[in-house]
Amino acid sequence: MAHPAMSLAARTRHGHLWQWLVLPWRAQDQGGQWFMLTILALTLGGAVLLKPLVGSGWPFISGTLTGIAVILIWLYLMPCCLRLTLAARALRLPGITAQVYTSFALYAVLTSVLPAILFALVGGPGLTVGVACFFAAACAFLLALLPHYVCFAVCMAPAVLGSWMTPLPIWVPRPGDAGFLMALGWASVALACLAIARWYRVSAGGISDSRWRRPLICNLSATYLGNDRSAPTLHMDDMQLIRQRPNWLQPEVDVRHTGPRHLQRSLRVALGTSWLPLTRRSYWRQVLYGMLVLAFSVAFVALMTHGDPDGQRTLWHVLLALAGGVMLAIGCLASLSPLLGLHRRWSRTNAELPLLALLPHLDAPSRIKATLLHVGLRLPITRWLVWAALAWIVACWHHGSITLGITLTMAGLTLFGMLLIAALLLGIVGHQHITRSSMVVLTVYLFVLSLFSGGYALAVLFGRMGFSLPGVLALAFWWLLLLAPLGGFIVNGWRAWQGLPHPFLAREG
Amino acid sequence: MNAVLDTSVTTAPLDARGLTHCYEGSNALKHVDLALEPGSVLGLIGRNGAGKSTLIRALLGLLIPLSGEAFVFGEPALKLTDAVKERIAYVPQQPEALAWLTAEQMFDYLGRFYPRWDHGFAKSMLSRWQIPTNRVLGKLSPGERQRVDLIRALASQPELLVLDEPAAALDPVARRELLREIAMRAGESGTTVLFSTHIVSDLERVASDVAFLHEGRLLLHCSVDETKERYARLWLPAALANAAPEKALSRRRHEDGSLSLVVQRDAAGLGPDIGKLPGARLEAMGLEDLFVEVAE
Repeated sequence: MAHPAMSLAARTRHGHLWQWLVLPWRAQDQGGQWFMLTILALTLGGAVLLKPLVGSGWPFISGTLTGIAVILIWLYLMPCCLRLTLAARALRLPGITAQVYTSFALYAVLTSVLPAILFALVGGPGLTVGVACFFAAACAFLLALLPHYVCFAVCMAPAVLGSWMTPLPIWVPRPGDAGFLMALGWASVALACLAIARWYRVSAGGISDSRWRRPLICNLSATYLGNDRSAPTLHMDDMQLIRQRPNWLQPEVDVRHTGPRHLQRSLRVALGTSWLPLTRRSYWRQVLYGMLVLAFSVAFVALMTHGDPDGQRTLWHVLLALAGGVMLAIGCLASLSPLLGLHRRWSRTNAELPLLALLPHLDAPSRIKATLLHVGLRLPITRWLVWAALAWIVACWHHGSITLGITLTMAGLTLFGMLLIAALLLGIVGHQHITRSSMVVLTVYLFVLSLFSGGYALAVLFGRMGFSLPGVLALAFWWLLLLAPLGGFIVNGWRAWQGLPHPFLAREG
Repeated sequence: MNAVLDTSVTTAPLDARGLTHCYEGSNALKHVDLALEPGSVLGLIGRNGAGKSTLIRALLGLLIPLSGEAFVFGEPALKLTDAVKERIAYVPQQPEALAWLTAEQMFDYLGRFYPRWDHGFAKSMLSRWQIPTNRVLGKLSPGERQRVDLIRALASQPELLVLDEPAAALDPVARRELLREIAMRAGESGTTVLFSTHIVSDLERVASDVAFLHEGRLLLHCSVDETKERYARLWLPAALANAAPEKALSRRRHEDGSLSLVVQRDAAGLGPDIGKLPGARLEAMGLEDLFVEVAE
């Protein structure tokens, strides 16, 4: 099969406007294309449609939505061209790099000059929007090319800077100050220059093997590095994780009490990752690492709230939000990521499946199926329930009483999470593919719904918005709508699972 | 009791009947019939993508074929009992299982399921092949990983050993040791071995039988010696090309119009009559020549 860069080279050798426009899209996989298109349609469509609805506040709302679209384009879409540039260099394909640079120039105009003109035409602050969009584009592009830990520091810098501004003699113009726009413009040019320099460095030197030096875009896009299986992407599988993790971070598995008489524990060893039974020492070590991350986060919050006259109160609020965030991470990531890892591993033919399929004394197929389902579901569902209970306690405590709205919301979320976990596991063991288009629709739906739900919860938490039962019920309704597709996935997965002669058949392409 | 024993001895360790399978519309297996004799060492040979791994997985019940059946020691491959599972061991092409365990942990874990697990053998082989015992499997090199999986398979003392390209990631020394181990197991313990490979020299070194898979079809299955005796290359000059026999394993026309065919000799070792005509000649073939002629 021809390398994507080769087919692109054939298509883009004689470039014109349309080809420069579609070039970054061709560097994406189909899922990425649909994701970008949907988010762009939502943000840009929202920017246009909300104008007549929000009255005098439209420039801010529409400008923000446009900014989000610009950030997405320069954080995710355009940096994927790095793959093309690297592949073109490796394959000695002429012309591709020039096409990429022309495409960059075209998109720079489209994402800064075009919004400025459009806003000006409808009576908005065209110049401000144009400069802000250029700033957002330069920022996003630079971030995409920096290593992930640098991105974290850069993203948090404004907050830290804000809290330390009084004691330190640093003057930063704020929106509304004279010269703010000029400063923003120069800052954008400086950031763009840094991004260009970084681009040249990465594209000339290639992608480093160390995940600490790789650009952020490597973590965002799975297709980015093509066949480079060592790439630490979000889609990194358990094998890559094990290979890259230092020895002192490897979990120590406790294989005592396994064997035919301890089937559940034996299956936990076979399922791996979060299911593994750990030695006591390894277990406490994992807890310690978690506590260290938490301590680092608290220290960071304390640093951020330094200089705040109402520091204690802010610190308390931020800590609450942090606790919520950590709980959300535990709930979502800890419950769902083991299943995603299992999905990737068990999609391959040479992982544990052949070993388990031929392992004697694992019990009769029907009973081992039930045990596998039980073991597979117990861990993620327990984690999800613990998260939901903690979130419910914190929310009720913060609100001052146990309310029906909070309880219903949490009950809905609990139900949703459990069904999602069941659908994912049955999809894996029952070999049921969720089609790419369904996945994109669900992801976008979840993204938008989470954005609204999270925004509403934070607004209530910080007292910016009153708690209203109809609002919560409306959100709950949209969440409950998800039950229909989830139910479909569960039924399909269950039927297919029941039809398999034994539970360890490899998924066949 | 004797009847039961007799059956277990005579039942083919592996038996495929009309196995057909396809991936995304293209046929990986086309109506394959194959039976292994107890105690034989069968080398399954074929080019990359010929369907060797698919055939092995279908034979062991690791995938559901589109049609056909497979039996392991007389039991349907998709519904094996523990008694049969105890008797078989399989090493995939790129072993990836249980990457979070060390080799010792893996053997400790798996050994609990096999009544005849040989802990001493596993330990001595780990030390002989210098496998680091304190490093998780995911951090071992592909060669080390494959050796660990071979030890795992052999430590269960199987009666049927199925190896999918076992030498792919091994260095020449380790490959030689593996082949010696296979030959020893087959000779001393009567272990039946099926191994797939595209390295003909490996096959000639240990295999008693050879099965040739090409584009999903099983072209031939017989003993190695018989293969060498039975098949020959028939060269026909351009003038005789039109009179070439229709029945041939492969045929290739050369630029000068001459034709070379792989033909079967009869019981007396004679080829087709056309081979006796002036200009035509019949040549003996080694396994490698046969493989190249048929696979090209």
